[in-house]
Amino acid sequence: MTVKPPTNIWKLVAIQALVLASVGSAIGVIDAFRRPINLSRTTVDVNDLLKPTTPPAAVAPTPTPPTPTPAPPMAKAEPAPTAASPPTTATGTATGTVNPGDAGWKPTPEAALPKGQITIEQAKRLFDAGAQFIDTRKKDEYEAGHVQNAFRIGLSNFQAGDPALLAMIPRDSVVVAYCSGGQCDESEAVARMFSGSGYAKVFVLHDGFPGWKVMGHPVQTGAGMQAE
Amino acid sequence: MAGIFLGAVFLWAAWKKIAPLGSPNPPQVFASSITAYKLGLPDWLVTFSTFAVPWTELLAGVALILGLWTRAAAGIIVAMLLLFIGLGISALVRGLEIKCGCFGDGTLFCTGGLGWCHIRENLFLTSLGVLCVLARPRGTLDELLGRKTF
Repeated sequence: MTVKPPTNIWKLVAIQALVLASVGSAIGVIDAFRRPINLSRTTVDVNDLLKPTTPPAAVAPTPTPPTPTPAPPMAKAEPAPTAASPPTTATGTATGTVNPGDAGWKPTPEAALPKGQITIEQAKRLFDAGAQFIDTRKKDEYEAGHVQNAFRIGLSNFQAGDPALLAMIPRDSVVVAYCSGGQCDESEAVARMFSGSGYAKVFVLHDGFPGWKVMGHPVQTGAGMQAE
Repeated sequence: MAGIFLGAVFLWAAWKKIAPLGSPNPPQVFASSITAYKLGLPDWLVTFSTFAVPWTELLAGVALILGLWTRAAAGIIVAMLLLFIGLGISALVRGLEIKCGCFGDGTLFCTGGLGWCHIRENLFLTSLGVLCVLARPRGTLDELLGRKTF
């Protein structure tokens, strides 16, 4: 009895390729259950962290667009808000097309932010409390100006494991990641990496560095501390 | 020879993504590489790719080295390389400053961040893969076992 050879070998090759890919994927799925990875961003409620110093709620604050005042390099940190001088409660709507510094720009209010993202005012209070800020922008942008004492750690720095700079940030630290505000998503991605590396108190400054700077909060220039 | 070289490269690439790299969870590192390309993939697809890609690379690499199902294994590798080339070009065009992530924390010919060198590197590997798909393999297990796929 003779077996007729296949007339179209490519059909057999395709079946073999499908088998290889299916087996590889199946092993991968099993491995995924065996060694789970963390892609979600775990964080606590920022208001829980700020509770001890939270002043009484301001009553119907008037929307007051900030005056664009470029902060000088190495500006001194502003005093923490107190009950006598409650922090400005950001009001108004999120402005996707108006950039910080433009006429009509307002800090994005807390109500408009997704979980894990914080306002400039909340970020400033975390800054005053010693939170570690992480600049996720490019090197030249960082060196041109960044939040005072911020480290520059980009997404690519996690591509070979935890960057060495993480050794300087205790796992129970409050971490605030930022980029350029607006449409940039690098800070969210880096915040996920921090969560995956064991940090539980990770936030993203929604309005980014431009918003921080326009509000006159402490910034500095220069090489600072950057991941390799 | 091209098949053995290509198989070894992919075996190594797979190993660097799924075996310990000095990180407690190597797949987490590879997942960050996928995320760095900013493709807007849902989490389940990132997770699936994180594990399915290296295991498929490993199987295809082993098959190429053994000379078993050579054309199919080479075909899978060519398809993956074309995908990687597309993703690399997309990242470069978008101005992303990221690492290739092709070999975990290792490199083949190109060092530094993702650049056109990596595209050329992948094109070279693709040409080897196409050669393995089209050429009649000699001295392979396929030949010894009298497979009908060549």
